[in-house]
Amino acid sequence: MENVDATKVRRKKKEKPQAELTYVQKIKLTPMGYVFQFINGLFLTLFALACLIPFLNVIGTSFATTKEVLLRDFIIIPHSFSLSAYRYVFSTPTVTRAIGVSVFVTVVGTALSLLVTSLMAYGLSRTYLYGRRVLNFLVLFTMLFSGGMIPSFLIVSNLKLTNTLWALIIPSTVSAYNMIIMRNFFQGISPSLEEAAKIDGANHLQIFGRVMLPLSKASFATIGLFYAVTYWNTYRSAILYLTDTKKWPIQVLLRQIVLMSSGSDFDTGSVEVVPPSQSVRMAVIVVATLPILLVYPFIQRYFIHGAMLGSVKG
Amino acid sequence: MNKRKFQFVGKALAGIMAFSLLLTACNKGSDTGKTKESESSNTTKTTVEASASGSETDGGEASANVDRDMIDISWMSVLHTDSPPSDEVIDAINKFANVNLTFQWIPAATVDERMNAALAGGSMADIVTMNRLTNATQRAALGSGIFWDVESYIKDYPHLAETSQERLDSVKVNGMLSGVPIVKPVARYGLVIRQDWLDKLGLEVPHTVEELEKVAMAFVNDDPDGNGQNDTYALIERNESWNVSFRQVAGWYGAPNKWGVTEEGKVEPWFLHDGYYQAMELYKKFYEAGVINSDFAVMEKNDQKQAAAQGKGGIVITGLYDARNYYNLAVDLGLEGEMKWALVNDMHIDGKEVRSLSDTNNGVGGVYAMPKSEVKDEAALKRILQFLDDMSSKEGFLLMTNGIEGVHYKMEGNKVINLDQEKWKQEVQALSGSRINELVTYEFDNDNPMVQESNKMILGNEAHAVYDVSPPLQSKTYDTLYSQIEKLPKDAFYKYVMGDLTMDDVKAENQKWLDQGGQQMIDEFTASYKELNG
Amino acid sequence: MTSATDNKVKKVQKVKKVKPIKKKGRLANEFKQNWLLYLMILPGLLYFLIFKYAPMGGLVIAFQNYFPFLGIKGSQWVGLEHFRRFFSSGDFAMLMRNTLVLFGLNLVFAFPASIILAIALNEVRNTRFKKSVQTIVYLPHFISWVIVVSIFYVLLTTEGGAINNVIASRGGNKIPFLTDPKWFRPLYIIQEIWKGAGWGSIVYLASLTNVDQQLYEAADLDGASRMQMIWHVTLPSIRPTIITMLILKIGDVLELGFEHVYVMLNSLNRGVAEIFDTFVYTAGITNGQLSFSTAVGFFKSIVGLILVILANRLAKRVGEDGVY
Repeated sequence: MENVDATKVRRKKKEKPQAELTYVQKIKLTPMGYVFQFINGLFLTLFALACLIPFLNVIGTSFATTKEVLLRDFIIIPHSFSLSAYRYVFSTPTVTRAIGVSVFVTVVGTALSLLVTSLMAYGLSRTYLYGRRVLNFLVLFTMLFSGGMIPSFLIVSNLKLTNTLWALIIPSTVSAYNMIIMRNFFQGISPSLEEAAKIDGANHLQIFGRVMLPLSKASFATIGLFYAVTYWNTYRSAILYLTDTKKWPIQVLLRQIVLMSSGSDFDTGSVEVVPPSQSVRMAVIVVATLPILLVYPFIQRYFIHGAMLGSVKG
Repeated sequence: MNKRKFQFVGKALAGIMAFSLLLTACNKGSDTGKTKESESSNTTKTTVEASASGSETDGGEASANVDRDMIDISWMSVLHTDSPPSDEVIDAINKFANVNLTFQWIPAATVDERMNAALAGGSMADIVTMNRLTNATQRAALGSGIFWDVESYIKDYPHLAETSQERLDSVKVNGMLSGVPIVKPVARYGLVIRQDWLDKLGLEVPHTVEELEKVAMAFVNDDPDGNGQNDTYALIERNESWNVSFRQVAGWYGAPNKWGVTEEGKVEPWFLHDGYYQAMELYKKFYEAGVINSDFAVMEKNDQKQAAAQGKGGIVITGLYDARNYYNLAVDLGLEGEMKWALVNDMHIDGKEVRSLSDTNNGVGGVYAMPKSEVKDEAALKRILQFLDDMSSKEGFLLMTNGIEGVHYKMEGNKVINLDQEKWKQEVQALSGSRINELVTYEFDNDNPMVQESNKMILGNEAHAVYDVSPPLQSKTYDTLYSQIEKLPKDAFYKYVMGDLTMDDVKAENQKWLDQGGQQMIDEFTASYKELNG
Repeated sequence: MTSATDNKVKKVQKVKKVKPIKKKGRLANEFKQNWLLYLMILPGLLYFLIFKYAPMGGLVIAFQNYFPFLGIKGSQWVGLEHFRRFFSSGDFAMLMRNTLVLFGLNLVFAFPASIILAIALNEVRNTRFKKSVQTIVYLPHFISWVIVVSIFYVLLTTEGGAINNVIASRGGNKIPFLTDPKWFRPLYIIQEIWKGAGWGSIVYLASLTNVDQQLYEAADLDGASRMQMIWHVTLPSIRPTIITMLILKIGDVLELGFEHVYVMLNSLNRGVAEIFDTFVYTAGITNGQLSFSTAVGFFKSIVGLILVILANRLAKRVGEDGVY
C-alpha cells in the first residue's frame, strides 16, 4: 500500500518541481524574520562572491591575451579577448582523449561504487545484524591504517589490472568514508517502513530496492557526487598503474601543466622547459574542471525530492 | 506495480553487468594484443643477439659502422612538459636508429613514487631514467648491481666515450657506473645585468663584487629606468635563493660547491666555510639597502622572471640563458624598450680567482640505467648502448631537441631555426628532457646573438668550474638525515638576511646542524674520501 | 506514509522484537534470516579485504630498512630505529604543537563553518537563490592549492601586492603577510574555510532533506522564533551526521592536508607551519626513505585510532550511534 502511495507522490512531484518548498520556506515572515532573511542573504551573497572571484579570475585569464595576463595582476573580465589558449589546448587530440577517459572512469566508477557501497551500507545499517559492529569497525580501521603505495601496487599488478582503465576504478570501489555516511543515512530512515514491507513478504533485497532506494535519493545523490568527484580527480593511480599515456585521464595533464609553470630548476634534474602561457594553464583548468562542476546543479534536485518523502524518525 | 518496479531494478542491474562484461572483453583484447607484441619483441631480440655476437669477432673498433639490427626498446622516462611527444617524431627516431621505441612516461612530480613501485614490482623497462641521485632508494638501487655496469663498455662508443671523468665519477655509486650519464653543461650560472641601465647611469659592467655593490646601490637610488620614481630594486632574488643564486655568491667568496675538501683533508659543507658567512653579510647589507626585493623569501621562479621582464630590478644571478627569456617576456609585454642584458661569467672578489659553481650536479642529470632483469645479455646491452650513442650524435640530438627537419625546424648553415614554437612545444619538447648529451647544443650556432653569447659563456664556465666532491662518496647519515636537517642552515640564512637573527644565532644554528648528525656526515664523507683518494 | 500506518507498524515491531533466547543455533538462525543482508555486504567486504587489508602487511617496513628492489624479505630489520629517530629529533615537540594547533583551529573554525553554511542555506526562501549560492560555494573545492596560494601571493606580497599597495597609499607600513609567522595561522584557516566550507556543507544539506517538516510546523505553532527553530529543530535533526563527521575528523587529527601547508611553508614561518606531513615529506619521501615515512605514518594512525575509539565511546555514552 504504502509504496504505491510513495510512487504516486513521486510521480506528481516530477511533473511540478517548482512546488517543492520546505516548510521553512513557507512560514510567514515576522518583521524580525525579514531582518533575519536580509542578514542571512547578505552573508551568503558575500561568501558566494568570495568563492566566485578566484574562479572568474581563472576563466577571465583563460580568455585574455598573453600580454594582458602579464601586465595585469588580477583579471576578472579581460580587456582583450582571445581564444588562442583554447585553440592551443585542443590543437592535439590529447586533451579531448583524456577527457573521454575521465568521463568513462567517472561514469562507470560512480555506478559501480554506488552499487557496492549502497548494498554494503544498507546491510551494515541494520542494527539487528549479528556481527555488525565488528564489520563496521573493520571498515573504519582502513581509514586510519593503510599499507602504503607499494603493496597496493603489487596487488593491482598481480590482479593484472595494470594498464587497463579498471586500475583506476576497482582499487577505489568503496570509500570507507562514503560508506559510513551512507550507512548513517539509511540508519536515519524509520525502521517501521522496513517492518511493514517484511509483513508484506518482501526480502531484504526487495526492501532495499523498493522502500529504501526511493527514500534515499538525497543520499545517493550526495555519495554519487562524492564518488564522481573522486573519480574525476583520479591522478595518483593513473600515474602508478597506466604506462600507456593514451589512457591518461585529464587530471594528469592538468597537474603537469600547473606544476610545470611553477617549476623550479634545481630539483627537476635541471631540465629547462618552456612553460605554457598563463592563459593556457587557466584554459586547461577550465576544461578539466567544467564537466565535473556541471554535475552538482544537476543532482541538486534530488536534495529536494528526498525532503518531500521523508517518513523519517525525528 | 511492485513487480514492475522490481523488474526495472533487475534490468538496470543486468545492464550494468553486461556493460562491465563488455569492457572486460575489450581490455582482454588489448591485453592479448600486448602479449603478442612482447612475444614478437623477444624473437627480434634473439636475432639481434646472434648477429651482434657475430659482429663482435670483427673487432671492437668497427662498432661505429656496426649493423644496427632492429630492436624493441622500452624506455621509462621523465615527462617534464604537459604532453608526451607526437608519434611522428618517435617514428622518425625509430627510422633513424632502426629501433622500435616504446616510451613509458612518468610525470616529473611523481618520479619517486612511480620509480619505487617499479623497483618493488620488478616492472621496469629496457632503459630506466634515474634522475634523482640524491634519493636514497634510487641511490641504493644504483649501488646494488641490479643494473648493468657500463663503465667497461662505453669507451667503445664514439660519443659516449667523450664523457668527462668528473661526470662519470659523479654518478658512480659504490664504485659502479650503473648507467649512461645524462650529460649537461657543468656550470651555467652567471650574472645578468641591464646594460641599458648601466649606460644611462654611466657605469661599467661589474666584474668584481666591489663593483657590483656600487652598481647595485646606483640601481636602487639613481632611478635607472628614468621614470622619475624611486621604485626599483637591483638584485632580484627568489625563494630558492639559498640553493641557487646565493650558493654562487658564497662560491665567489671561496665557499665550496655544497661539499668541499678543506686544507686538512676534511670534507665539509659550504655553509661552514668563512666565505659563506661573508656572503651572508653582503646579502644582509643588500637587503637592508633595498637592493634585494623584500619578498624574495616567497617569490617563485615565474614571478622572478616577470619582475625581471618588467624592469622592477636589473640584476639576476641565474642561468646565463635566462637573459634571453627575460628579454622575450619583455617583448611579449611590449615593455622591452631599450632593454639590453649584459652577461657576466667572471664575477670574483678583487684579487681572488674566478669560481663558477656547478649548478647541474657536476654536469650530470642522472643516468640511463639498463636493468639486468629486462636487458638479459651483453648483446642486447650493446645494442641499446649503440642506440644511446646514436642519439648523442648531431642527427640524433636534433631529432630529440628540434624535431623533424622541414616540419619543426630548418637548417641555415650551422644554424638551427625553429619553424613553429607552439607545434614544437606540443610535439617535440617532451623529448628534449630525455636527451643523452646536452653539450651537443653548443656544436650548433644560434641565430639569436644573445643565445649565442650565453652558450659561449656557459662553455667558458667549464674552465673555472667548481665541483661538488660528495657525489661519489658514501655516508649513511647523509642519505638518511641530510634533507631533514638542511633546513637549519637554510632557514637561518633567510632569517639573518631579513633581520630576524644575528650572526651568532646563525652560527648556533649551524652548530645544531653539526650536533644533529652533521658532524657524522663530515666524518663519514672524510673517511670515504680518504679511501677513494688514498 | 501516514501516521496511522506508522503506528500499526510500530505495534507489529514490538511483537516481533521478542526473540528466542536459546543460545544454541542462534548464529545459524541469524544467518538463515539475514543471509541476504550478508550477501549484500559481501562485495564491499571483499573489496576491503583485498585492497585494504591485504596490503596492510606492508606496514612492517616501518621496522625495516626497506628498499623496493630488495622486497620485504630481503630488507634488513631495524626494530624501532625509525621511531627512535623520529621521537628524538629536535623537531618532534614543534611538530606536535603545530599540528595540534592547526587541527584545533580547523575543528573550531572550519568544521562548524560547513554546518553554519548549510543551515544558512536551509533558511533561504528563494529556491533559485539557494541553488545558485549552493553551486557557487562549492567551486573553490576544485581549485588546487597551488593556484589558491598563488592568488594570495598576488594579493598579499610586499612588492606591489594589492593589499599592501592600499596600506602603503594610506601611509601605513607594509605587512609581510606571507613571511611573518604571526600571519600564517589566520591565512591558513581563512583559506581552509574558503575552500572547504561549501564542499563540506553538502553532506549536511543532504541530511537536512530528511528533517521531518512537521517538527517545524509544530514549533511554528508554539510560536518559536527562527533562531529557536534552528536550535531546537534543525540542529538536533542533523546531530547524528554532525557527530559522525566529527568522529571521522578526529581520526584525521594528525593528517591536515599536506598540500595546503606545503605550498604555504617557507623558511621564515617554518616555526609555526611545519607539521608532521610536511616534515615527513622533506625528511623522508623526497629522499626515498620509505621506512621512515611509514614509521611516522604508523604513529599517526595509532594516535588517530586511539582518539577515534575514545570519541566513539563518548558519543555512545551521550546516547548517539557512533561510527561502529
